Amino acid sequence: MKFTKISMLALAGLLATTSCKKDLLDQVNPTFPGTGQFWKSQSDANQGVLAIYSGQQIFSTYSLYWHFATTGRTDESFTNTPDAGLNQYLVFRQISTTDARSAFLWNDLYRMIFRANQVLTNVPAISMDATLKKQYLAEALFLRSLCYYDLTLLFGNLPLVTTLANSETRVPQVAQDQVYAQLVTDLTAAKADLPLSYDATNLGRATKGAATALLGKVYMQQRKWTEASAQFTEIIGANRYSLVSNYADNFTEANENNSESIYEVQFSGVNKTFGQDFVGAAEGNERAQFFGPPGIGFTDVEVRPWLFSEFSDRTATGGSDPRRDATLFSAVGTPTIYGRPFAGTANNGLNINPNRVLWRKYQNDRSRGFEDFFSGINIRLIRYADVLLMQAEALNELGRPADALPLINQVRQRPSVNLTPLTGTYTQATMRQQLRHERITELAGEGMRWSDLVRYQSFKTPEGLSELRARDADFNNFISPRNELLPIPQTEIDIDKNLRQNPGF
Amino acid sequence: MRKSVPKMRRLVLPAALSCLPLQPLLAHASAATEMRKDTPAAGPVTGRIVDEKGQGLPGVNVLVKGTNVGTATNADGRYTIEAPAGATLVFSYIGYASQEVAVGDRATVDVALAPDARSLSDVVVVGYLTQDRQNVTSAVSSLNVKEAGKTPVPTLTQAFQGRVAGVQVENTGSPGATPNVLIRGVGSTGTNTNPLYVIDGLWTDNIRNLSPTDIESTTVLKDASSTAVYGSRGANGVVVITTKRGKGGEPQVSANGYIGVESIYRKYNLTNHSEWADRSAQAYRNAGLDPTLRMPGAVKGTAAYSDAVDTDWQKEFFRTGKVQDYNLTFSGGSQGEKSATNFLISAGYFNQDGIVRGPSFERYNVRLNSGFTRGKLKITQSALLTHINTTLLNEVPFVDVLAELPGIPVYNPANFGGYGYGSANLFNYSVNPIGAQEILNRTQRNNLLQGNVVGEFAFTDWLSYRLNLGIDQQDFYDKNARKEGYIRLGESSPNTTYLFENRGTSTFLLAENTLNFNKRFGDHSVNALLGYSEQRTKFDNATANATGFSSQPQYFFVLSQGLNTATPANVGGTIDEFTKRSYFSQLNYDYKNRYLVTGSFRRDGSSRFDPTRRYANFGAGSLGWRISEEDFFKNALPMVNNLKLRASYGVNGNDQIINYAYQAVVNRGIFYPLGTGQALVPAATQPGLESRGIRWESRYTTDFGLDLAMLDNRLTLSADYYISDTKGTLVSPPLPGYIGTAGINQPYSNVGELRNQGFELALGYHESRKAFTYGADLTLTTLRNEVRRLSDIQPVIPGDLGVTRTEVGQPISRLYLLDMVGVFQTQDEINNYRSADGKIIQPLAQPGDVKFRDVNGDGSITYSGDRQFVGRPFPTLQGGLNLTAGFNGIDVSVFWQGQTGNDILNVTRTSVENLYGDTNFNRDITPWTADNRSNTTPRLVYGGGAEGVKNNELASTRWVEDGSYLRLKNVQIGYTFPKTLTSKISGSSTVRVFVTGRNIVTFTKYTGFDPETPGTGLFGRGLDNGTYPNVRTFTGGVQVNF
Repeated sequence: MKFTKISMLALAGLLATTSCKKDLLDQVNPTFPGTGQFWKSQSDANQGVLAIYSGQQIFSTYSLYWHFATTGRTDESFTNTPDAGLNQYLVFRQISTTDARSAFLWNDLYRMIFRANQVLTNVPAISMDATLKKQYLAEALFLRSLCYYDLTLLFGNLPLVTTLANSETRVPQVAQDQVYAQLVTDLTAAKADLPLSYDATNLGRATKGAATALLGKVYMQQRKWTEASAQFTEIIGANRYSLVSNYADNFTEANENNSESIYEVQFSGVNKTFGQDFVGAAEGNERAQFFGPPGIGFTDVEVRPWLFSEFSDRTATGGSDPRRDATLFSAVGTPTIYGRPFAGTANNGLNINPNRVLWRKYQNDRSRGFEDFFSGINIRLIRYADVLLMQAEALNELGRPADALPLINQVRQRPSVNLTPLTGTYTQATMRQQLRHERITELAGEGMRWSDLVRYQSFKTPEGLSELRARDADFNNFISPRNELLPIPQTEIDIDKNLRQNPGF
Repeated sequence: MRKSVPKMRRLVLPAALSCLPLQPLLAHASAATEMRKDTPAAGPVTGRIVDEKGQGLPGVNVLVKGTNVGTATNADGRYTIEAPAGATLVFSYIGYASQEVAVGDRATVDVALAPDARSLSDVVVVGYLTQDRQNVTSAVSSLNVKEAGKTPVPTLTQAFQGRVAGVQVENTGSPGATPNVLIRGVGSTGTNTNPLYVIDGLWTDNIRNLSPTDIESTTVLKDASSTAVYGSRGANGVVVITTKRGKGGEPQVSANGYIGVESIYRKYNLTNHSEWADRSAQAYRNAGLDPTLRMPGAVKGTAAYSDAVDTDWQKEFFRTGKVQDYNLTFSGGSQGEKSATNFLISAGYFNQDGIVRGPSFERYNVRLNSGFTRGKLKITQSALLTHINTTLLNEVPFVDVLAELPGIPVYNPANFGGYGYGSANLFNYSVNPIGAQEILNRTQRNNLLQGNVVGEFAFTDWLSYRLNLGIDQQDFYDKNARKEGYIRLGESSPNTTYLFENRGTSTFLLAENTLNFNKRFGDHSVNALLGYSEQRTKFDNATANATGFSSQPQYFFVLSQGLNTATPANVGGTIDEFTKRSYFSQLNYDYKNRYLVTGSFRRDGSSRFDPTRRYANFGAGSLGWRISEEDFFKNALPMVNNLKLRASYGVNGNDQIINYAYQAVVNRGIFYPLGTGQALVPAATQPGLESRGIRWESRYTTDFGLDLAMLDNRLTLSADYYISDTKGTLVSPPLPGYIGTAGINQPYSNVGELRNQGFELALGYHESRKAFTYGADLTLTTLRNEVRRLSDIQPVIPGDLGVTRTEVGQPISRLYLLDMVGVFQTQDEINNYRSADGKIIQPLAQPGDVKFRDVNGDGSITYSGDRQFVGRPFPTLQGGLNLTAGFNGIDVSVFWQGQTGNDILNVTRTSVENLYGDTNFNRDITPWTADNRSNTTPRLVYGGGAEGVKNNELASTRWVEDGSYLRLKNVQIGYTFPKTLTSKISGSSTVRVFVTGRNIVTFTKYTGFDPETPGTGLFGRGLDNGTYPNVRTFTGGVQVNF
């Protein structure tokens, strides 16, 4: 009996240990702060803005997929990739509207837009330095505009999300000119509040020049030459930017954010852990690995040989255009790459068929003998040479071919290039042809070609298409209007029945 | 004699029930006794009790029927009892059918007891109460642990397959893999669909740690009436496991072990180097391309072609695996008047080395179960300590082993690291599957403590209180390292080494208080329970990684040795907590053991859900009628021992979603390189959206069942039909990408509805009264799954790889593909294949290309318009047939298992049949040529050519195969040595040796490695995407008891 009493006490004790606590079911996430605890300070605002920038580094945006879309699919390039989905995507035979290349690009540009809308929604209520607040909001507007610029270029009519989304958010799909109208509004506002430049610690953020140039590009794609020219005039007139003397400095890690750079996406090769948005995640771009030559990278995108021939201009001393060998690897121009013979097997040679031409821009061959998924080279989205050539194009389209000429020669004659200056008289039509040549030789492989072809209306005219087909047999698969745009991801169409798929898909 | 049983029960049952659940075994034994009034004078009777193999059975209860006079057999199975002439002796032994033998005028009564495979009279744990199986009114299946134990499986769940009706097991052969277990289909769209496991009262998901030899009994609770008392965890079914405990009498030692070999049971028939070269070069030429530019190694007669290397990658990759399992158990106890003790100590070691280099699983187990009864207090305790080492598979070798070219050597000293891979001559981006296992090393080390202490106090013989305190703690240490070297074409970074570590703990704590009322009033029996419980789950981990490990003089894979200072080591971690509070009750009532009623209720509150919707109520009820207990029935059909009709209805829930889903959070782990030095500057954003107003999923199940036993319980049948509707299922469909949260945990909402319905049948026949015993058990399961409702704003859930789709009116995750009609034989056929308005549907096709159905009739083939639902994700019929026989120490068991009616998208096969040029080819298929026309296999054509891709490899019905199979899952032959030999070791010892074969023969039309494939998750059902196939195993072992 005594024992029973003790055991009763023991049981009562056990019971007590399990008695209720009032807050048992109230669990606060110990790992991540809730949104209610954020967006309180100037630092929070700054971090929110930087998160938008960080979205540019995702492999599906400016790290890789943007390059597939704007370089890989153009007549500059072709593919031999065994990746069936990528292959179909690059040669206009993509019937799969579920394909990752278009879906991820779409999703992740919109991810940046979501981040931008968080800033635009939450930062106004934060009490902080008024000038900085304006700057942060303007940066968010610039970055959102950048995403919409590329989205509408590649996907056409878009759901235009300009407020902070929640799970019930469904927005109508608007026509491309409405997207452009939004961008004109946003970029005009951003221009006013963005600084001309930043201190050393903030270098790489969007400037007034970047917003001005992007606004110019928005007008260019609409063929609004007067408005475009006005923006470029502002940039040129400000005398803030200049061409770097060494052309190759635009594509290496050594001279990033230089005087020619108007806007570039920052990459760093320091972290080598795949993924994004966690401590230690990679901050590099993947382009170099996927565009790299056989034996170094995956060579998913290589160069159509006509491009090699396009570098037909001669330097003042009679040499071939120096930009060719800065742009391309070839057995002729760069017999040794990454310290190894291009063709042949001797000396650890790469044994690449000497007829092949490969991309060199944004490759790390000058600094090391290998590639990986973590290239630290910044991607130059807008540089001054592009602005000069766009200004020339706008002026020519406005019937002023003579005024275009000095701008072209400025680009042709940077010290390291130093081609024979153009002289003589050009009609609008001959100047147009000349400008197309100048843009290809200056900007090949930089992702400007697709927007150029759209602006030239090459996809809409028989002459345009036949020139493309002559240069790139993949364009035999090009069906207009189907291949003028990428398919909107099938999941979007499935989910939001109000979205209209692009023609042909 | 049989007729008098009900009368007897009235007297015996109250006593027996009052012991419940303290001593259910005694209750069982006494239930077979019977009162007799005319007892003549006693005399000694002796005899020997043997088992079905003729071995003496120690510890058999021998009772003079109708009296308290009893004894037990000794170590050799012998007994002596004072019994009157004309008395009847009752022999009972757990796991064996009781026998009653009239003594007559004999002085010696020898009896052979037969195993009670029917388990009709045993006690079943249903919720928090135990029930006599005959009175169970729910859909409950018991796993025959002894029979299932004959299949050497590392985890219990694998043993369910084909042996328990209504349970679907989806399994891979990967060492240490935990199979997916589905009880009555998929009842959820957004969450975990595995059942709850309750081991000796402890709730857990960690079933992989339990050694199957420690298990005494396993019961699968399937319908709402049996699972509703588990409330928010009951919706996927509950598996109740009881582990072994020591018994009174002489301490027992048992040892068993087996070793075996395993191998892949089927390989692909692939082309050798010369055949590959012909096909590859042809694929290029058919595309109008010059193979010398891209694949020079395929062009015979050139310097680039060499047949010096001809690797059979499958031969190099696959090897003979090993499996071994050893267990040692010590048990014993004491049984006194008012006190008892018992203990059991078991130790186990299991080791499996896979059929490919690398993957392995090693488990060390120690179990301590003990119990203590003194007067009104009873304490029982269970504890399992487990140490597990797992080495995981790297990359996707079951695809790469097919795609690798035969011209590439496994090892190539010229390459960094020494592995062969694609080159300029032999262009191929596959990962060297052997190099991947050797250079990459992913290991997991787990330490697990699982157990509970239960205290019970009986205030009276009808009222008792029980406290159950449990813990399930798992420490994990995952290590992921890479050595130097390249394993695929396109790698050129000089230092590839890295180390990633992830360490942490997950702890589950359980406290349950229950008050049990159990009393019989005349014909009325009431067993009722009230309970209160709290649960707490905490997870925390820390991660770190580093790069730059030196290989000299060896690899030191510890974080401090990551010497790449340019890449600083990084750290991370999370903490996660989940709590629950519950009130519950359960009631079992019967009238005259004939009319049966049960009810249960549970109220659960959970921290996982929106604060305004944290609590929910669950409940169920059931009715049963044992017609066989009615006099009219007994008179009409005396050969029927038991016939019970039952029906149940109820609702239970599912809370298996991530924690904190209702709160939106900010990710501070984002960085951007900024400024001249490109310092990484911290950034922060809200990555995803919160789930507003989420609550439990509720599953409503209606079940009708029938249990039948006849011919002296030799023939048994149990059948169930059910309809189960999950309402408010937590749907987390991908939102439109333009919301900006694609791929992040998408918000849940309780909008879905699912229906599962099916028929379950278990049929058994056992003849075990003679020396020659035999038996057969058949289970059949049908299943229909249908999505009844999804979100209004998104009525479709696209699945993995975009090849499945979940839509109202369809089963979850049904294949959604283009339809291959055939192969274009002529240009005329292409030109004439037009839509109604005269448009050529596939204008770019050439003869030999795949012809697709233009489903929407728009004159072109598009994913948006021309995919359609094909195939079935769930088998319409699953079944198992177990045949057993025994004679004179020899026992044989043959187990067939199979399923039919489901389809598989063979993604793995696409890598050798896309006829694409850069992978190896399936030798069994003959591509279309003008001279050798096929209507199923298109022509060889390289995909990237000037003429464009011909779409022959698109995801279409071309890759869909029938997933039906019939498999000889297990064969075992055992031999128990005669007592005359083994008694020299010890009086009561038995020695049994056995050989077992697993997955011996498979009948299937499926052409992949294995038709038993678990798919790639809830929305990737039916996808064979390079999963580890199930393996064929041959083992031999020995079991010793003394």
